[in-house]
Amino acid sequence: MTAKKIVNKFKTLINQRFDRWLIKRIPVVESITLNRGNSFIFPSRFGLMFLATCVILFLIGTNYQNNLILFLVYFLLSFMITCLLLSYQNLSGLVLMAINSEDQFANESCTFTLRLTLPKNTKSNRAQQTSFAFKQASSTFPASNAQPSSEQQNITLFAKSAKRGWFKPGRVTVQSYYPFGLFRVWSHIDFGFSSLLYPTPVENALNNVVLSGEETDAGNQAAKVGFDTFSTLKPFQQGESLKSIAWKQVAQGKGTFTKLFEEERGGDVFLSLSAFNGVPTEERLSMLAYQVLTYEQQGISYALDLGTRVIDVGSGAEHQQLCLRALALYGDEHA
Amino acid sequence: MPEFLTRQSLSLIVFSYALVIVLLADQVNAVLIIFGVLCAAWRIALFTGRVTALNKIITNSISVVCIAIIVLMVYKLGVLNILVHVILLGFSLKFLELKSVRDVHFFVNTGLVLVAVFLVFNHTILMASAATVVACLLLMILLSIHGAALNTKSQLKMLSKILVLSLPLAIILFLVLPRLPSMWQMPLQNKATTGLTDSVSPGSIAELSQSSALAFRASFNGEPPKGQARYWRVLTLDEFDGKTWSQSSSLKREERRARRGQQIEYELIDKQSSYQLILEPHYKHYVPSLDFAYSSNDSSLLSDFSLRSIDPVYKRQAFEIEQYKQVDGFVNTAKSLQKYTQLPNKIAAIDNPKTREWIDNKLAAGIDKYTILEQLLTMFNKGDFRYTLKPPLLGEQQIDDFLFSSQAGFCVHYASTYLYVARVLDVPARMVAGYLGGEWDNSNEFLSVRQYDAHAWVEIWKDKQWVRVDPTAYVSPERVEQGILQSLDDQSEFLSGQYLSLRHWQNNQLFNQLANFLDRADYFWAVWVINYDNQKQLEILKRLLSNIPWLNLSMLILLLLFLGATITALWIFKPWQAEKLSIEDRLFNKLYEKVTEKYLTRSKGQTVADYCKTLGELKVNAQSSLLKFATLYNQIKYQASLTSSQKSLLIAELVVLRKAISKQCKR
Repeated sequence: MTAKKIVNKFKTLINQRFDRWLIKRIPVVESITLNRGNSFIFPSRFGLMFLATCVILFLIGTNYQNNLILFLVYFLLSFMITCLLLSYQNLSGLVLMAINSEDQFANESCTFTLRLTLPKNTKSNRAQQTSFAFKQASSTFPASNAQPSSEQQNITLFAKSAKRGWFKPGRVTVQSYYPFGLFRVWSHIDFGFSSLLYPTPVENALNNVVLSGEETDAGNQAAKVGFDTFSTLKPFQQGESLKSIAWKQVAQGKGTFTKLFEEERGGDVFLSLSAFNGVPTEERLSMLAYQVLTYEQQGISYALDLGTRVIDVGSGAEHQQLCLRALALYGDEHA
Repeated sequence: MPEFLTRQSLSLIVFSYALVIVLLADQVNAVLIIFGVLCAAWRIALFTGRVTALNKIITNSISVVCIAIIVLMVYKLGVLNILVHVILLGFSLKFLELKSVRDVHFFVNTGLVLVAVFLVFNHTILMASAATVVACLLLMILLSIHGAALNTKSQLKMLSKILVLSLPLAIILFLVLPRLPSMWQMPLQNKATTGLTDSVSPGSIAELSQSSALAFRASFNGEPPKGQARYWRVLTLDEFDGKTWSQSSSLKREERRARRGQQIEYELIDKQSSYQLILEPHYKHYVPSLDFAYSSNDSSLLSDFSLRSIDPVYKRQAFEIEQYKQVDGFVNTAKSLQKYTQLPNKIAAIDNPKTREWIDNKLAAGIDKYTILEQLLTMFNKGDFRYTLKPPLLGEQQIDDFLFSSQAGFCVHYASTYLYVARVLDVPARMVAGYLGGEWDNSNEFLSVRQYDAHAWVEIWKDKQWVRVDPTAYVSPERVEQGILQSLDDQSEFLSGQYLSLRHWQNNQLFNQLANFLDRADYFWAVWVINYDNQKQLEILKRLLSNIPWLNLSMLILLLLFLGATITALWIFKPWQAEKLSIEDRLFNKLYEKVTEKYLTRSKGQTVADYCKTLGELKVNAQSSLLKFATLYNQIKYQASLTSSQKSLLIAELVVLRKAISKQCKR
C-alpha cells in the first residue's frame, strides 16, 4: 500500500516536472507547424517488442552462425530506422490552428475545433492515422482522426467538465503510429483552448414571480406552461435542451430536430437566485439555467437577479446569453 | 466484441500463416498443421459472424491441452523440435484471441521468429526468397493496420518504398558488422540424414544413384585434379555380414573420438594444393576429401585418412582443405590389420562356396595371391560383366551369384566381390565409400558433386601402405573418367524416376543451360552469402582500404554505416525539393529576425507592407526607409513585368535599404 503510494507520488512528481518542461518547450500557441522542435518520437510498445524479437533473431543467427538470419536481423533494424524517418515525416509540416469555441453547457460533451492544413507540395500522404485528443481528457471520448486525403479540414475534439465557468481542457495530444506501428510520434500542444460552460440545466417547476401580472392580459398564462401546443420542428442547435428534441424523428433517422412550442405571450418573469430555499447554490444556478432556456423558448421575457448582479427584463438570444454567462460566472471575481 | 480487423488485414494474416505452415511443413507434426488450419478457419468464421467469440477460460484450456498434446507427441524429437512446435502452436493459437492490435503485433513477431527458424534449416536461394516473401507479408499486415486509410495500391507502393529504402543500410550492416562466434551450443534437429551412411549395401548406393541432389561443391586453388584422380573419400568400412559392409566397433569408436576433436597423429608431407569445399547439409560429420587431406577449421582426421567435422553439417558449410601427397609415421600393426581380413561367420552359412572353390583352384595351381586378385580384375574387364544401375536381385550367396550368374551390377557389387576375394586370400582390405567425379560448371570455376556420383572402391594393404583399387574401373572405365551418365549402357536408367529434376533432361540444350545457370547462382550464393564470414569481410574492407590510404578499418565501418543512414534519410525527406524562399523574403526575414522583432512582432497574417507601416509609426526615424522597403518588396514580389536585370537592380537596392533600416532602428 505504502509502496504504491510512493510510486504514485513519484509519478505525479515526474508528471509535474514534465508539464513544467513542456510549458517551456511548447508554450501556448494559436497555430503551430509540427517539426523537430515540438514533436517527440519513441519506439512504441510494439517497437520495443520488435527490437526484442531482433535480439532473439540475432542470438539464433549468431549461435547457428547463419548469415541469412543475420541479414534478416540487419534488414529489420534498417527497416526500423526507415520507419523512424517515415513516421516523423508523416506529422512534420502539419499546420494546426485553433478555432475559437463557443459557450457550452457543463456536463455535456464540449467540442473544440482545430484546423489542420497539410503541407503543400507533398506527394506522399501525410497525417495518416493521426489522432487528436486532449491530453487529460477522460477516456470516454474516442480520439478524433484526421482525414489524410483533404488538404484542409476541421477536427473536432471532445472534452467534458462538470464545473460551470471557464473550462480549459488543456493540451492537445496529436499522435500517430503510422506506418508500421513501430514508433509513436506525438506532440502535446497547448492551443489555449477555453470555453465558458453554463450550469447544467436542471428541470424544475416554473413557479416564479410574474412581473406586473395585472398589466398583462394573460397574467397567469405563465403558470400553465405544461399545456403547450406543439407547432413546428426546427433543426437542433447546440445548447438547446435535450428535452425538446423530437426523439421520434431522430429514431426515424430524419435528423435531430427541436420541437417548437407556440405559447401565447405571457407576462414577464422575474428569476431570482433567492427563490429556492434550502437548495445548494450550484443546483439553484442549474435550475435558473433551465428556466432561462425554457422562458426564452416560450418567448416570455425574463429578468435575472443573482444578488450580486441584476439583469433587466428582456428576451432574445443575446439576452439569454447574457443571463447564462452571468449564471456561469456567478461567484467568480473576474466576472 | 466488435471486429477490429479489416477484411484485408485478416486475409493477409491468414495468407502469411498459410505460407509459414507450408515452409515449415516438413519440420512439424501433421496434427499441429491440422489444428492450426482449424484455428484459422475459426477466426475466419468469427469474422463472417458464423461463430461467437470464446471466453478466456475456454481459450486458455484449449491452449493448455494443445501444448500438452504437442509436447507429448514430439518430446522425443529433441529440444529444437519441441521449440519449433511450441512456437508454431502459439502462432496458431493466436487466431483464437486475435482481439486487438496488440495480438496482431504478437502474431507478426512470432511469425518473424518462425521465418528465422525456417532459415536455420534452409539456405538455398529459392528458400531464402520464400522466407523474404513471408517476412514482407508479415510487415504488410502491420501496414494494413497502421496505414488502414491507404488503399491497397498505395500500401504496396509504401511497402516497396520502405523495403528498397531499408536495403542499402541492411547490406552495409551485413557487410561490415563483424560476426560474433556462437555463444552457446544450440539444439540441433534430428533430421533424416542424406547421402552416404555408415553402412553400404548395393541397395543404398542404388538409391543414391537415383538422386540428383547436390552433395558438395569444390573450387581449387591451382591445378584441379584430373577425372580419374577425383576419388572423394568419405568413410571406410571393414565389416562384412555377407550383404552389407559396415564399420567395426573400433572404427566407430574412432569416429566418436573425432567428434570430440581428438585427432589421429600422423604426418602429412609434401603439400600439393588446396581447395574449398562447400558441403550441403547432410546432418552428419562426414567431410569428403581427396587423399590426403588436412583441414584446420573445426574438423579432425581419422586413421583411415578421412576427415570429420566436429559439429554435424546442418547447414551449407565451407571447409578449406589442404591436399598432401604422402603420409608419414603411419603404422598398422599386425593386430590392427586383423580386422581387415574379417569375413562373415561360417555359422551364418554365407561362405560363397563357388568363389572359394575358384580361389582354391587358383591357389592349388600355385598362383600368387596378388596375381589372383589381378586375374579377378581382368575377369571383370574381359568377361561378360556389365555395368548397370538396375541389376537383377542376388540370392543368399551374394558373391557367388554375382560372380558366376548375374554378372551385372555397379560399384558396390564389384568392390564387394573384390574385397571378399582379397580377404579369403588373407590380404587386408577395406571398402571406401565416397564420391567419384563431379561436374564442372560452364566456366570451370567449381566442381559440383551430386549424390548420384556416390561410389565405392577398395583399398588393400600392400607394401606397408594402403593401395587404392577400383574394380568398377575395369568394367566401366567411363564411370571413372566421365561420370555415371556416360558409363551406363542404357542411359534411360539415369535418374529414371526424376522427371522433375533438371538433371534428368541433361540432353536438352535449353534445360542444360538453365540448370547450369541456376547452379552458378546457387554456388555464388553459397560462397558469398551463406559462408560470408569475418575473413571475407576483412578481404573486402581491405580492398576498399587499399584505395584510400588515410582511412582505418573502424573509421571505414563507421563511415559506411553513416553513409547508409544518410542515403535513407535523404531519400525520404528530399531536402532539394523543399520550397525555397525568394530573395526578397529572405531579406525581409533577416531584417525581421535580427532587428525589428525586438520592437514589434509581426502578427499572424500581417502583410510585409502593413508591418513596415506599423513599425514606421513606432520608429519614426526609419519610417521613410521602411515605407520604401515595403514598396520595393511588393514591386519585386508581385510585379510580373520586371525583367531580370531590373529585378536584380531592385534587389541590390533592397539590400542597401535593409542595412540602413537596421542602423536607423538601433538608434
